[in-house]
Amino acid sequence: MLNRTAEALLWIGRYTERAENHVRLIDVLYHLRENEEDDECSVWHRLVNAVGNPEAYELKYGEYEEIAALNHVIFDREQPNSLFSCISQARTNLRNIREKIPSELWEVMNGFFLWLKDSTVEQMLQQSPHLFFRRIKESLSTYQGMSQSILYRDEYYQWSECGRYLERCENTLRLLTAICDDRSVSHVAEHFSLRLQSVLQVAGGYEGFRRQNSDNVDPEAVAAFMITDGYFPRSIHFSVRMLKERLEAIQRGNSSRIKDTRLNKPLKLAGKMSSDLEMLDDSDLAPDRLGDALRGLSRSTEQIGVTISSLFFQEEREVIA
Amino acid sequence: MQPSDSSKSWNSYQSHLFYDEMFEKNGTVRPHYSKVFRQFQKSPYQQLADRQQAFDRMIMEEGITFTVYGESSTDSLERTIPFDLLPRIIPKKEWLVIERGMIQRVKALNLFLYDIYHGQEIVKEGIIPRRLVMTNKYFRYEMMHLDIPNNVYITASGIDLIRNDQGQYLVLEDNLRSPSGFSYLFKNRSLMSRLYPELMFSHPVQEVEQSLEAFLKMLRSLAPGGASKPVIALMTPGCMNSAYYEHTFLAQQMGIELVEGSDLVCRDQYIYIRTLNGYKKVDVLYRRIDDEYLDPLAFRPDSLLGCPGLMNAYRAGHIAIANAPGTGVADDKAMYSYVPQMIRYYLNEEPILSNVPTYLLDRPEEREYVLERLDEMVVKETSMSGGYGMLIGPAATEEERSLFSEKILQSPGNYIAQPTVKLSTSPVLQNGKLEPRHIDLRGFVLNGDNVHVIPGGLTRVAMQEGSLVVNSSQGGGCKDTWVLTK
Repeated sequence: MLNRTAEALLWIGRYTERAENHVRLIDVLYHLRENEEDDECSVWHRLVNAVGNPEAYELKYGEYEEIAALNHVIFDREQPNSLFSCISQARTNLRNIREKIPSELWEVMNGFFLWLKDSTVEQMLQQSPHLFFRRIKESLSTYQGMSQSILYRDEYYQWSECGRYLERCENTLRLLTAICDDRSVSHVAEHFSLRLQSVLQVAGGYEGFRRQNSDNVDPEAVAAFMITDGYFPRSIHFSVRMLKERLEAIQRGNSSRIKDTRLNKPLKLAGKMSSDLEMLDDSDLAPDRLGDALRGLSRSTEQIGVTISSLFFQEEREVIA
Repeated sequence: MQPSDSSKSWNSYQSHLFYDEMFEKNGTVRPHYSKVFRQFQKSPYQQLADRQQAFDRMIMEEGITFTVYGESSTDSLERTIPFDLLPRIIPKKEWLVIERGMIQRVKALNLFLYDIYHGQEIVKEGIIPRRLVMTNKYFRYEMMHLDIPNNVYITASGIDLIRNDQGQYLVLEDNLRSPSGFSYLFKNRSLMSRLYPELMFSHPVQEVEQSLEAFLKMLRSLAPGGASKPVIALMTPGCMNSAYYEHTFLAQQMGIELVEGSDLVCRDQYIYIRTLNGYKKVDVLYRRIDDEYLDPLAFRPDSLLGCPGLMNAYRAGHIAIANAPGTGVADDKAMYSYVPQMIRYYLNEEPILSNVPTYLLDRPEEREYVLERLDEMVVKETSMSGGYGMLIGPAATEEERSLFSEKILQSPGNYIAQPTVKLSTSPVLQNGKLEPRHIDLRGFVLNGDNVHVIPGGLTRVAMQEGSLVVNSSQGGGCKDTWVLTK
């Protein structure tokens, strides 16, 4: 496998996961308005803060209002984290390695991209934003589901999944950190609790949480579910464990007789992060201590990401002819 | 305005000046097109329009595109090549002549290349002027006296054919360096069988799938030392190249590695692919990059697309390259006019397929003759391709013609001229009607330890009414091409 193929696969995993996380978040935030007493424009401010870039937004659009905000986070070609940009990047990377992946998979992604490319804010508002978001979620799920169904489980699959779980970790951490850092919320117990619960909705874990915790909605319980639970697929612990398994599979699947030691460092880091997570107990996840725990985990995740991408730095191009 | 009854359409079909694929001069349908015509007649307009739309959508979704680049790097447009759902049908007898003619031609060209890079007998005997060979910008000194596998210089070639107003097939051009179009050929067939099966399967059409296997076999046969499981790689300039889709298609279908120059490295005169798990030795390189960019140590030093040391490995016999470097000297438009003589000289045979009459403008009498009749001539720059750098006399204005004459007089050696051939036409579905459009045929000849011609080839269509330009980069379309087995 070529270096750049592995890198492309990593980014495909990352961008499709990022798109899924973003659309889930946008869908929830868009509909959260009825519950809040804040004024109109703070809803859009929160949206742009969560998945966009406030400075860039203010420069381009000025005031915070519905159409501009939706444009910024969904359709804006110039915003590198808009839904369109994420899908476009995933699709471009997929196209660049298309000879290596099943054509059915390519067609799903390409069809999705072409549809999104031709969609506009106006069309979305006319139909219904929720149905629009649902279609995006479904397209991403089709892509994911088909990968699970037909992709040969060799390094091609493993690299893509590494990207996915790395991104999932980062996104979940960012989501939780944003709530802890939001001054207006973190100091008011009820608001804080409500916000944490909205995270469950975003992650699609509300029913699972309820089943595990019946009527307990303590912030510590929610935090535990999203951070240390080993059975919820979008929790940080689950994601790190899967990341570690994928890296191990890549290392194992090596056909060369010499063991590839390059993946040792990221594996160690993932292993350490996994044990750190196991060490966290409820008191560490209390509202006043949660921020610290999250910061530690964010640092570890970042380290893992940096170590993995350093594997792809091009060696000096020697010329021996 | 939508015609309710498509059966009336052919009455207004105007193509009596040209040879038409489907209709004779008096309007009767040629026998091998009768089923297609009947099918077309009985299909309501909406059904045909829907079907054409289904084709367009599938082409877009599958990403069968080529890329055109705008000013900024984000500005790239992926264009699909317009595909017309009416097939071009070639009866078996006609095809046999075309096939034999192309095989003969490529055989002679291969022998010519061997000769030019060895004893140069054809030059010594005065049949081809030395100047034409030695000053050709594609002539590669590095290839002199080099023995290559099977002496096959041209592994994959695309021979462009047209039909004159008598229906006779003529060779318009040879493409021997990096011909493209394979992917569209296979994809057209795949589209037709999936989206128009009732038409497809009611005809005895020769299948083309096996040609991919044949292509792979040809590449394998080039492996140095006759390795049994040679590693074959397709070298591409990268995803920015307009033909990138074809590169990925061929790599995937043939199960070979797709590499860019930067993925390769030369060590001890062997070429390796740099993989995540180490180095993988390459035995055969099917390169879709021009000679100039292949190796910065041998050719253009500023090329970032090549692999330094590739030519050294090649000369050491450690890697085979298809098509061989230096084949461009044979597909030059001026050299084209000598191909009939090559066939006579090397094979002692008469050419089965004739050239279009060609004038070399550095010859004074021919130049004078052409300049007097520019409005009847097509003038081409010898080193250009893709339909650029040419003048279509009858379609040009007086001013355009006189401007071009200046260019000719400045450097006559750069131009050749051909009388405009009344290119044949084929019906194309436009707004529920059948309309004639000019077409050509690119035939593909594969050479290895034996020779294989892909049945049919790529029929290219000039989609604009009256236009003679079929190249995809300038808006040309294509049709599926059927060779009947009976």
